[in-house]
Amino acid sequence: MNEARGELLGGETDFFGVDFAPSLIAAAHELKSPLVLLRQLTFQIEDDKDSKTVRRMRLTTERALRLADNLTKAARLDDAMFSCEPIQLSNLCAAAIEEMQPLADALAVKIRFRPTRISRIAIGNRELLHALLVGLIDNALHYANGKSIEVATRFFDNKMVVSVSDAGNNISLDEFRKLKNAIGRTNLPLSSRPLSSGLGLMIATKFAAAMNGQLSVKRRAAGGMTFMACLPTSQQLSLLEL
Amino acid sequence: MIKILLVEDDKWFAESLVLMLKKDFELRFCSDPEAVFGVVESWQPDLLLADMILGEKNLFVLLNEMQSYADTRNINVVILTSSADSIKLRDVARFNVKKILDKSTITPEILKTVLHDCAASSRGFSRSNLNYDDREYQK
Repeated sequence: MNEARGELLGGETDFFGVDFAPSLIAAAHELKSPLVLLRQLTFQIEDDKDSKTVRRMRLTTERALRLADNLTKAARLDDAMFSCEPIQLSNLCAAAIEEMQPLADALAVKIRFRPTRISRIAIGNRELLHALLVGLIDNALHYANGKSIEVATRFFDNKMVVSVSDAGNNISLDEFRKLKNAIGRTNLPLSSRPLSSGLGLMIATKFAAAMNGQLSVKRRAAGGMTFMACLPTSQQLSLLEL
Repeated sequence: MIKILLVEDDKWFAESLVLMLKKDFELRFCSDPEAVFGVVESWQPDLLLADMILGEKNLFVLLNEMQSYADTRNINVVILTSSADSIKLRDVARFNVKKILDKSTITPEILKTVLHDCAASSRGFSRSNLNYDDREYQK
């Protein structure tokens, strides 16, 4: 990785000796203000003929607002503001899916949910995990190619895994290997996913790490990708479930 | 009709809010927090709907001041901000803040419901005390 760039997020900076995190928080806030106004103005447009356009404007500004919010969160990770607690993943997934349903409807993509039969309590931060999941779903929706996407939870190797799968364009094995190596360490735009700079993925990895979890990616044989967040499980509560 | 004083430094955002709410509430708008006292005194709103950051000024200086006077301390406050995740209600409850709403996710329906609820609790209390002498109220 280019050392001169340093690590942009998470408070670690050696970007020409400047602590970039406060500037990033300020920049994200500055970005939010016009987006908030734009979203608010869409409520003023009441002409039925433009309702589809208005809805798209609102959904698009909400996407941008989420990214601005996530940038702020990522810059604050080192401030230890995000404590972990036991979380019922199914409920969190349901809430994230409900939030993204309007965008899914606008893109004519179905979101399928496959919860695990083996229920364990994960340990994580509700706010970060919600943002991580919403980000993965947002990404999957835009590369679904009109097909459905799947959100799933499972218990594997003593961890709770939440995954989001899309049936997007196939990426080459070479690009996939680069992605796996770069994940969380640097932005990596993919030629098969031209709208994505990799920033969202980088932020998601930082969020997972802040919860002692891990983000990983799998290439699907039928096309598309599966992004997985693995989280520690509650050992105390698992004893009660025996 | 419920009277709401809107305190917001972004004039376009404020105008949009007024358009959204004017059928259900009686509204006045102030962009300068220093002018708020004058409006509160003359107009006696049921509720204050305010942004947290008002240009270079901070809402809490105003709210702290409002707590010093009998005729303003009981006016309920709803904060509407794009930095909702940076404050907790319990930390600002002493300023009579009843709800913190996020500008980036609020919808007209939720906003109207919250304003109705918060103004209703304000009305029952504050109006009955406006005519009392401060010393009487503290007995």
